[in-house]
Amino acid sequence: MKTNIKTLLTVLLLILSQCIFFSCSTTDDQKEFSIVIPSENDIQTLDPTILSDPYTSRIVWQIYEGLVGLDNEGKGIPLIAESWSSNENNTIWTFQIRPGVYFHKSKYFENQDSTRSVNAYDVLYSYNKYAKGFGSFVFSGLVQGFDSYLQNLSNTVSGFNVKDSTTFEVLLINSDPSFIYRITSPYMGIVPKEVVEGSGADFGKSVTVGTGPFKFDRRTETEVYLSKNENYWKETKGTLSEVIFRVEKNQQLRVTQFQNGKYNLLQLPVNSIQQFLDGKNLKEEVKEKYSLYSKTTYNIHYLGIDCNLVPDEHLRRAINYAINKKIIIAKLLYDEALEASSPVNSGMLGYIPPTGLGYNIDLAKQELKISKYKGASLKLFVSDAPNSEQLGQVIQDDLKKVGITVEIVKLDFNTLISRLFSQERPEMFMMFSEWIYSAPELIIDSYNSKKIPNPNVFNYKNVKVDSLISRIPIAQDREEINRLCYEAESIALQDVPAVWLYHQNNIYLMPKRIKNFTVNAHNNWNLSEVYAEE
Amino acid sequence: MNKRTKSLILFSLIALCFIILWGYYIDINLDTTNIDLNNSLKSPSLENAAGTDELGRDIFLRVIEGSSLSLRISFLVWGISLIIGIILGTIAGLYSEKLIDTIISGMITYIYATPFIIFLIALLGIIGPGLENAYLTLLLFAWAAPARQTRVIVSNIKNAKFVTASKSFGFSPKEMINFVIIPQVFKPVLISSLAVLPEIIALDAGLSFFGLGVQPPAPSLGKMIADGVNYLSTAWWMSTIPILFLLSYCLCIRYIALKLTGVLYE
Amino acid sequence: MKRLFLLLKDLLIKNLLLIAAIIIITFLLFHTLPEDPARLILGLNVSEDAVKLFRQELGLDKPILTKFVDYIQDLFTLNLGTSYYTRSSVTSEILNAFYSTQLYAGIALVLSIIYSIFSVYLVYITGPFIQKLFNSVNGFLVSIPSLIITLFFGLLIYNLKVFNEINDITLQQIISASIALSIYPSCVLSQILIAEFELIKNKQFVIASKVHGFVGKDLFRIIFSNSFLPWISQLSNIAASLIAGSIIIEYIFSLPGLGRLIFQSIIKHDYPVIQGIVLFTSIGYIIFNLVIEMIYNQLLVSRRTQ
Repeated sequence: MKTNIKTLLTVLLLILSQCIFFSCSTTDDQKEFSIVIPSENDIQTLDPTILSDPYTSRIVWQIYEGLVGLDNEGKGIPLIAESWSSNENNTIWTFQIRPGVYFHKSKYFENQDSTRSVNAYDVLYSYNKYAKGFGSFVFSGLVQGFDSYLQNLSNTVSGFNVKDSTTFEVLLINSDPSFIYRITSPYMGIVPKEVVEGSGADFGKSVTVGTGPFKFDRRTETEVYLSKNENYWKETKGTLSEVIFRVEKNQQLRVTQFQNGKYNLLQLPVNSIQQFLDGKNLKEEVKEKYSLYSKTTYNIHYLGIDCNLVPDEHLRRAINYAINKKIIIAKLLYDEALEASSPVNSGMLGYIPPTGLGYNIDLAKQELKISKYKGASLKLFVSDAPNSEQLGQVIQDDLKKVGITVEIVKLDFNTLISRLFSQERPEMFMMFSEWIYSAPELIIDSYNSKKIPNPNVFNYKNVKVDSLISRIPIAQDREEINRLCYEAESIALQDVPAVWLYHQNNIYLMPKRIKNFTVNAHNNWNLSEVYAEE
Repeated sequence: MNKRTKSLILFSLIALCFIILWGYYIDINLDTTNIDLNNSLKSPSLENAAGTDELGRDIFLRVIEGSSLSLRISFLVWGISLIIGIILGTIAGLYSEKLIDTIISGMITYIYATPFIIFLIALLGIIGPGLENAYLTLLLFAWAAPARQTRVIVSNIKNAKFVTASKSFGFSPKEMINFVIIPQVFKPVLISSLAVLPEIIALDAGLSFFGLGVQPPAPSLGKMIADGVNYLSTAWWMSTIPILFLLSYCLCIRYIALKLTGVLYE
Repeated sequence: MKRLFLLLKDLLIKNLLLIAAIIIITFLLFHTLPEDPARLILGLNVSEDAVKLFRQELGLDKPILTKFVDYIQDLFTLNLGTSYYTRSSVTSEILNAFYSTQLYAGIALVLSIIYSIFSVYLVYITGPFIQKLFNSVNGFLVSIPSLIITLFFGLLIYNLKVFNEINDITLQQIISASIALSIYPSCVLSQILIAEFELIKNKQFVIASKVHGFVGKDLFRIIFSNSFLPWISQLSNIAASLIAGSIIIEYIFSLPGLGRLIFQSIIKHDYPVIQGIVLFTSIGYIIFNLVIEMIYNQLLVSRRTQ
């Protein structure tokens, strides 16, 4: 009996002691200026060339950079490419690689310094790697040899070319005056070949090496530790020595832990806006503790309509007229969004989109009468993205008020996307896009019938719109491009392939001592410029 | 069982029936999915006994409607699994050690052996969410407990004196089952399976909480709790009221089960 | 020792059929499915050809019998396949996740054991009033669906800033998770122990011991050592509830572990992982029950010989 109790006690003690060992292994000496940031979703991968999740991007974009970036006003700025130029008809784009940009130190570089500088071959390697993953739709139909590379008919993309170790070329099939605006987001981060091939399956999981302002130290299943890259090529004002990202999916916990001081930077979830804000400013009781930063990034939240399943444009117009965007923005989003009439953010490279149909119940009922709608129930897919379900229900109710029946089906985000590409498409779906490029004509491609199913997820076909879009590559200047976009959109908006709802405005909260936090239009966080005030 | 207990049990049963009927009435006649964004997140008042949610819908009516649906289906599943369980258990008990018994007992052991919650979630992940799917999969598992208990009782009593006496009196097998065995089996199995009923109700809430249950905009206790978690500091009534109702159903039924079990073994 | 071995052999044979059934049913479940994971994994922006290539790479278009043979072969080498999503070994993912889960689940189990022993000792020292108190608290908490308990306690712990002093967030979350998860098992174990204690207390041999002068701690040990058999048999139920609880806990606290893996892989339709988890937990559960049964048996025998 006694021995049994003794064994029981030792087993219990062993289990308890795990806790102590575990905690010892994770406490380090506190770095000087270190912040902890919560992430809304699980960490997909730390390899930028196969990344597709916008939440993980925030982490990856501290580690990697591309050729071209975007400044806070939406203009393209040189990153790894020091300068660029194109030939006369914009079919050949040449990039000069900046000298003195070093990769983060890694044992996979077999030299004394454990690093080397970036050259054009790295860009070639990265772009070829990217083409097999997420990049296929950005370059498809545009870059020479791209499609045969995808079909495994060739080993590399013939349109990606190294002229010499500091010059990289892209050869296009058609003219594209806005090519650099396709590559302003660091999905096309430059990765080093030795590290990718040397670490094999670990790359993107426990090994990730880029050129960005922060380098990867280590990670666990739900945390990523980054520290400052002392060899970063750019002079920055920032003094952050360590950034830790933690997965915290529960909205309420994120906010509570931020209030407890465990998290130092929070992208405020829409549902918690009332807790901190009074109108546009911080409430009195929190004004002393926190500061606020607000930015509308390039995004669009919309209700997509399948033009094959809902071919009657009167019905689609009725749907558009029936939705009251203003009250949605005022009540559900607490005015932290801009009403949208187009997927393009107004002002992108000077483009002002047309106004679209707007909210009008009488016109909705009129259009419904003309249409052949007999009361069939339309399926509406919603996802678990923030507000998607709520919006779905509001829209369902709005449409019910004019006489259109809607059935809601809730799926998780990834499943919804897969259904959009399968045979079981819904009539309508709630979606959002965080644009990875920054020129209006690239987004207007969503109306292009040649781009079905991506980015034209609506099966929308209009000959006039197509012909206007086809004139863009030969346009003389930005003004003409914008004008063509405007004309194309004006027609498309009458056909309503989608109801463009709003551009989300992001609000970031941080304790008062954290200064100079900004974000660019791709929601790329400029953590390298953040410093602390004593 | 004293008078007070009896009246408490009666009161609880009547309250549950009342909620079920009221919820059904609301379901048919009123529209609880009517959205009025101007009315959102109002605290409990005379107009809205439990306040409104973020889309302006009255929470109290939705709670009643959701509870009614949940209770109706839970009772249904419970009842059906009880009947299936008793039938299969009786068969297994009567023909014990034969092939049919081995098959049925094997199935029961399998169900008891697997942590069924994982199977349930996996199945739902595969066939898709939705209340009907959830309860259908639940039925696959819920019959095992009453079946096991029935089998034990039946195989114990089939050689008892009063059974052999009935046989010698010339009862046909069908009559034997109906008039001799079932009465012996029914009461204990019913009462001990009452303890499972709150689990079934809670399971519905749990599944809806994860989004695997009822689809929006239909009301459901679990869904309302999940939605309300994000508003705990600004609109506490959104989560708290459904939780209180859920709690009271579970406690209620558990109390009834406890008292009846006490009676059984007096 | 030999007797134990024979017992083990006996139990294994009985359970072999069960394990075989689990393996076959799990396979059928996960390989006769409509959903095509290729699109899901590759995402929105990949061309149709890339998707076809991916499908071929994963072997999604082989006939079902071939798949079954591969499946059985892999099982013998403990290879549960490769995750569609992360492309790493399912076995390693599950083991990592299991390690994280048992970290706080183990602590929860220990806490509940301590609570139950403590509660019964308290009842022993004091008397019927405390017993009634424990019974009502236990009964109340057991009746509440575990979803609500874990949600409630989890959020409570954070809002009360109870462990705010601990700087390491992960440690803080593990402690909070352990406590929240231990509530239900504590009450169940405590209930059983108190009930059994009550029964044994009035037995002949206990009264005899009292007469012989056993009091206080010694008497407690005598009564306890005779009453914890049903307590041990409850452990398998507790294990199942810990697994279910971990799904909720890891959902709420975003902790890495088995529950989170289950949920994530279901949402992403990562069928190899789901299949691996179902196999792992089912067979693990059987093995756990086996061990419990052997301990139970051993204690039964040793008690008889005393």
